[in-house]
Amino acid sequence: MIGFLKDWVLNIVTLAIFIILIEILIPSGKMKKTVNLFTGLILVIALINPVLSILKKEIDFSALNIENNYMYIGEIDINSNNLKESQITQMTSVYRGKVISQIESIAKEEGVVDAKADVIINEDFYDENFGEIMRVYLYLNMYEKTKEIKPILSVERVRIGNDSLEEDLKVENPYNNKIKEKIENKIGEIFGTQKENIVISFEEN
Amino acid sequence: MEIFQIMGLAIISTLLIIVLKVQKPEIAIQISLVTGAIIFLMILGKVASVVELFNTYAKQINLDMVYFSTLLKIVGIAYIAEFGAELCRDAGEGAIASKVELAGKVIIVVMAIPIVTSLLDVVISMMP
Repeated sequence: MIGFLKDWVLNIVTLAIFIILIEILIPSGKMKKTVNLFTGLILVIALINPVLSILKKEIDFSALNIENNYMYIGEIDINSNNLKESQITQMTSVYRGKVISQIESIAKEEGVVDAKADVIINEDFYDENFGEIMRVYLYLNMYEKTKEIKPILSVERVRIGNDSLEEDLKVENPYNNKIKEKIENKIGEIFGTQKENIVISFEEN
Repeated sequence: MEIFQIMGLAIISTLLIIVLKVQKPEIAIQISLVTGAIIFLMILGKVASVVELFNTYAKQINLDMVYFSTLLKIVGIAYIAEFGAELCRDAGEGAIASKVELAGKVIIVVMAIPIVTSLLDVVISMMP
């Protein structure tokens, strides 16, 4: 009880001293009346708040959010813009995840054992083509399939001399090419992506 | 002694304004504006240290910081509004000066709305 009283008295005394100092500081113009009114109100609240806390009706200033009560509309605008931006990023990330999982499932339907997809999406919200799939990267693993149907013959490349140009030419598996084309067609049908924007690569085992 | 600097600045600018007011009143107003701003900036550092002192004491005795910050905000708004209004009045624009004062008052009232509403709520809830 003594501690409570001590806090109360100290609160009032310091507040009164502060108010007097502030009254010295404020310019002696027309604003003085307004300032006096509100400093007085604050002092009244400081006086009655402990009494109310006994009656369990303490004024909860934190609930009133007095710190930010400036009602500054610009701030609200900024906040809402930030919210909008975070919402858009969330939306695009969810959309991207769904597209990736759909592409992966398309690939798996074609008999691929494991598929990993990555897409680049137009993330500019204000663009007309927002959400358009710009590029698809697909890494396919044919390991188990190829175990059953082995490539007819894996021919070692015959090198003649040191012709480095030959290095660029790759002998591709015809079975892989078929699947590649099928998947490309399907993705193109569903998402409307151009074939040249679909990059499919096979993981070597 | 900073007060001598302030006084010197004030006297020099006052003399300049008196001289210039006859020939070029528009420059006289600008000089008074700049002088006011310079004096204000000169004392700003000291005001900051005083506020810091208030802050530490308020924390020490567990004073509700809400009261304190509201008080300081009210004082700051009052001071800036008065400064602007006086400047306008010096330039002979009494109408604008009173508008600035009005704006200051309105902003202070808006800031104090939560205080008033909570007080009113208490009064209403106390009624049987």
